[in-house]
Amino acid sequence: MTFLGRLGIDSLPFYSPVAFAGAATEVLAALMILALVTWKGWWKPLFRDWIATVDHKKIGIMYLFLAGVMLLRGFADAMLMRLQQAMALNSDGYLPPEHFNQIFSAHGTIMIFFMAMPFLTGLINIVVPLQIGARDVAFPFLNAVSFWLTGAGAALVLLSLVIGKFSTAGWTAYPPFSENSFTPGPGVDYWIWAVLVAGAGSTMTGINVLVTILMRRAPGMSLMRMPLFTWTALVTSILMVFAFPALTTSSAMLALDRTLGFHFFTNGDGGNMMNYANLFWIWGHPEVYILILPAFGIYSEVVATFSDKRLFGYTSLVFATAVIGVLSFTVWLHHFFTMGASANVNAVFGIATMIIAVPTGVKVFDWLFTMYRGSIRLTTPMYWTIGFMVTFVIGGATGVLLAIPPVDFLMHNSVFLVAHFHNMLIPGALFGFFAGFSYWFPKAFGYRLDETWGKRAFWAWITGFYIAFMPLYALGFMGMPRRMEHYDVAGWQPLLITAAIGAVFILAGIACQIVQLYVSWKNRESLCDTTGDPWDGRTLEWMTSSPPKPWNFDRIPTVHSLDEFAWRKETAGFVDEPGAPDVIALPKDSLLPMAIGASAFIFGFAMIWHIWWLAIMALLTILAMLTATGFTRDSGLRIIRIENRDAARAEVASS
Amino acid sequence: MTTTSSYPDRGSRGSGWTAVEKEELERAVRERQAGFWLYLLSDALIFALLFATWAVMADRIATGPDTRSLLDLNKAFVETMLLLSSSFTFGLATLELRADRVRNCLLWMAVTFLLGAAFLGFELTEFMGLIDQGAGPDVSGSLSSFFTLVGTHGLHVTAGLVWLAVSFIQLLVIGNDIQLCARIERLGMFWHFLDIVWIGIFTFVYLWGAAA
Amino acid sequence: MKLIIRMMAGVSGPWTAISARHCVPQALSLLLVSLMLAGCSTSNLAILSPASGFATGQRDLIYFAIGLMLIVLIPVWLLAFWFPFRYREREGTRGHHPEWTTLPWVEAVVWTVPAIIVAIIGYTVWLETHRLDPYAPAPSQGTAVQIDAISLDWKWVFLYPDGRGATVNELVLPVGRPIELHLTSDTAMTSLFIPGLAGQIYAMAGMETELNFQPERAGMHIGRNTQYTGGSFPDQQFTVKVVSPEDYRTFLDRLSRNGSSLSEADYYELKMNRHTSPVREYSTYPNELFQSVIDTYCSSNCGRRQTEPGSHAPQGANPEGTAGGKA
Repeated sequence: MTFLGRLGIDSLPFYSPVAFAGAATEVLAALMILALVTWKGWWKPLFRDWIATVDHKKIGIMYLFLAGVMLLRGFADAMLMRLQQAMALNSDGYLPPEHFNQIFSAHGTIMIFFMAMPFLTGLINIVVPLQIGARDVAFPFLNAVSFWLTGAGAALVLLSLVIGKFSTAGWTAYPPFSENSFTPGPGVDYWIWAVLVAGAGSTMTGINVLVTILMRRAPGMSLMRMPLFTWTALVTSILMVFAFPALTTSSAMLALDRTLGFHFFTNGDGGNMMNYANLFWIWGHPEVYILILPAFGIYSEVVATFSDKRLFGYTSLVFATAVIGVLSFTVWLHHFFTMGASANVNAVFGIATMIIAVPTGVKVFDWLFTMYRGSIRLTTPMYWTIGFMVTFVIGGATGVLLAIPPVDFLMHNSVFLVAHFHNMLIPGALFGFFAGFSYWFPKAFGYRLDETWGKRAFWAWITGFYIAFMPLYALGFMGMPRRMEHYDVAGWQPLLITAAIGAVFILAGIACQIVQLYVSWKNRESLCDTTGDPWDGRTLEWMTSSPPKPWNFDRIPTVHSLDEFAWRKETAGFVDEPGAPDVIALPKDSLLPMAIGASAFIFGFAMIWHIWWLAIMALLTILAMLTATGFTRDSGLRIIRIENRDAARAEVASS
Repeated sequence: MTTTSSYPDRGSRGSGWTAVEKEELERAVRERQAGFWLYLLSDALIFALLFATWAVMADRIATGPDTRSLLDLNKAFVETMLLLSSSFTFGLATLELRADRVRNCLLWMAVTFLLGAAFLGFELTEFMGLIDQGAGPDVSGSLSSFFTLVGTHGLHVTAGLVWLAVSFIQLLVIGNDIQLCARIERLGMFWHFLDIVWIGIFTFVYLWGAAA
Repeated sequence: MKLIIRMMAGVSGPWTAISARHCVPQALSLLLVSLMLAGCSTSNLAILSPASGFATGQRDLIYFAIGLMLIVLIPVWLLAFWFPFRYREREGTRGHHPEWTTLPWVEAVVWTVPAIIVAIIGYTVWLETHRLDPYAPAPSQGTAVQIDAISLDWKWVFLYPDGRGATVNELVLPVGRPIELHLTSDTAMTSLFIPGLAGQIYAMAGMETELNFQPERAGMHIGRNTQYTGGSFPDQQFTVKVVSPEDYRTFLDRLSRNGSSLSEADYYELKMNRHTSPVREYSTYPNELFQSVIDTYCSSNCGRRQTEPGSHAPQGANPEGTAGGKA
């Protein structure tokens, strides 16, 4: 092996003009951002206020930023694919297969790992400590490490566009196709190491959120007084802790196969690709609920707040959430009914899958009955929520269809399946994240988002969704497989053109969201949230200022009821927590998490390109940094004494 | 929240810490303990999946040798004894630390380290021997899963040894305080966890191999 | 300002009312949906116009499940529009009852109705999964036609019974006889699917899977690999001709009189030439070709092929990931 492993000048993207243009855009964008930061003199505040922060709210905002950037990249991939398939009847379209195959692999990987996961982790970070009346998460330092590991994984995926190629093996990287004999080169390794690095971050996030919720709740907040979003965050983090090991294991085995010539999943030599399918989906199915449960929590908060009513059937919703969490581990085999398992096995997993529809159905009805006899304000978050309920049930129904093994034999690997899981993840998860984004934006930033542009975005998105994905259901019935770079069935093309038009509507939706951010920022004075409670909220996060102080609450509130804040406003007749402010201890900022993330990025890069010395150096650097923290002599805490609340505000302003 | 600490606090750091800081650190210790349990559960799942993979792959020897007939039960028994006794000596170290007898604790930690290192040495020679016989992990799916299962455990033991060495130095330099004492207890949890995993490996890999 | 316009919830969705301030996208979507409907009459929907008992059963299950689920879907759609409209915020607090947060019988209904529906579908699933098991022989008196299929990059090789010829990218089947297709792969994992005729099953190296069905009508179909395998994956398709038993015999005779035979070297060339292929026909193929392809990759316990009727034990490990084969 040479000094730079298998890295060489031929690793640059000259194989496809589209790939080259993409790489050039990415590099230019990065250079422009660097230039802007330098020109404006933002480096110092950037490091001080953001990169070194261990504040859960700021980390949450950084997660949202990452999710936004990756949404743009993942959506660009989607547009390219829709355009290719609209064109490629009896022709090669405009994308060579090599590039098209990278694009759909990158699209799935990015949207799941680097858009949806950071989005929900960001919202959980911002909201959960506030909702349970805590000063921060249990492990703020680890929280920052998790973020930078996620960022390192995302950076690896972005880098694959410029140096080398991304995986062509799909976002699931099914062997034996993902083995060296079929896909040599760094592509699949990019996928493996991006996923491994980000997966480590997600596992730590799961542990962190779980301990935070179990051990940092304000006095009086029993489990059955927790807001529903906190409940879903709890179940999601349990799933993260217990599902991600399967992804780590399967990806690490694939890495061993590819890097050291092991035979876990190879054709022949004792390899067994069916084991990969099992391991991958033992993670993969719970992952669906990791993505969707927090969105369910958001819908619950939104529908209660804007109906001005307590949630209907709170207890049912809690149990439904927990049941979904448990069942999510029992259904993984439905991803490969067609692998030749016996009818008994297929039927058991099919029925287990359908059982999940019961608690999910209960949830939908509970949200509907929360609106019943309410006083409903049709704000942007409510639009997303209602749009979700109407659209999501279609995805649920097609999911039940796919869970019937004999039907799956017809629909598996078809674009019907593609339509189904987009139907679950766009209206199910993403609309929820958008709802949560508009709902909690004033809490995080201190001003509300513009409603007009928000609703325009909603209409463009939902219209685009139907136009883009309903044709795919129909195409599934026509027998069109997924991942087709070209095709020779003339009957498919009108529907594929329709789907591409749908993608244009979604593009308009994203444009509206960008305009919305700009307009809201411009009008931030008039949209300012001075009270900390812009929506007449029901839960603790609305009791503190917007944005909250670094320590969230001057005095940790004592909880008396479900929907404590609403209870105080409506029944108790007091809002502020009585008594003198606490003496507050906050963790100190640190640049180490970023340095650990950077080292992990270098480690991943070195492993992808077989630069062994660099990989070892990066690992030793991480080890050295962790060891050094163990020798610090101070407590790692800064102490804040609030003499009175006005002085505290002054201190925040000056710091 | 007021709790009385069960930990001694006579280390060189922390003398200037305020009551708030100490209370906060004691809470941090409890939370880290809980977090570490969750980490161990998560890690246990990795091992569970590696065991499952071994169960699926053990017979998939292709054209290679029969993995299970190559395994040396005697060597594995010695390794088991080494690791089990290292767990015992680590337990003694923890007790000494709780009783604030730092010197005795250091002594037992050193013994633990040596036992752990000896275990690792045995394992490495076993691996080298297999590779020399032409039974490396790249020969068959069966050998791949054997090396990965046992090697992942070995990697954990290596990490434990590094952690043990660092803690040893910290104890020398800083002395016994809440944070360090709790950290060494967490290392203890980790070390005992590796024992349990090893018992699984001894049973399902070596004993099963001998039975075959 | 609010005007009621109609929005279509999908190809088969119902008409539902929605209040909107921006009707332009909706109007456009209407246009597009009608365009779409024009593009898909049922004749195009291969899966909804089946040509075998197997595929008919599968299609009927789709209709049955959709019908049952509409019991839940229709109320959801109605309530999702009616409640926000009826209880929207307005002057006075008419109808606002914040204390109305639970009602036992409503919760009971909300849990039991979906549970009953799932129980009914679940029971049907148990029966139908066994009836339509691709490994179960098609219910027929006739003897099964046993054809072996090997997946290559990016083409299919079909071996006809008793060494009576082989074809590439063309499968000819007699109408009214049970078909027993045995599959393996000499490349990455693929999935053989004949929409309208037979559901899909994976073909994997070193293993043998099986697909049973019975064509009821003569006709042409397109079969494909649906499991992405890179390169020319979109071109890995073949024509399926379902013909009368007489035509099938004629076809076999023609095949066996066809001069060229598929030698091991020819097969190797087919395998290594990583492109799709035009239809090819061969009069003979090497004895035990199918088994030898499996043996190339087989890792352990690779018994010889079991030929006694009714036995279809796959070789290698089974997909549940446990050691040993499926009984």
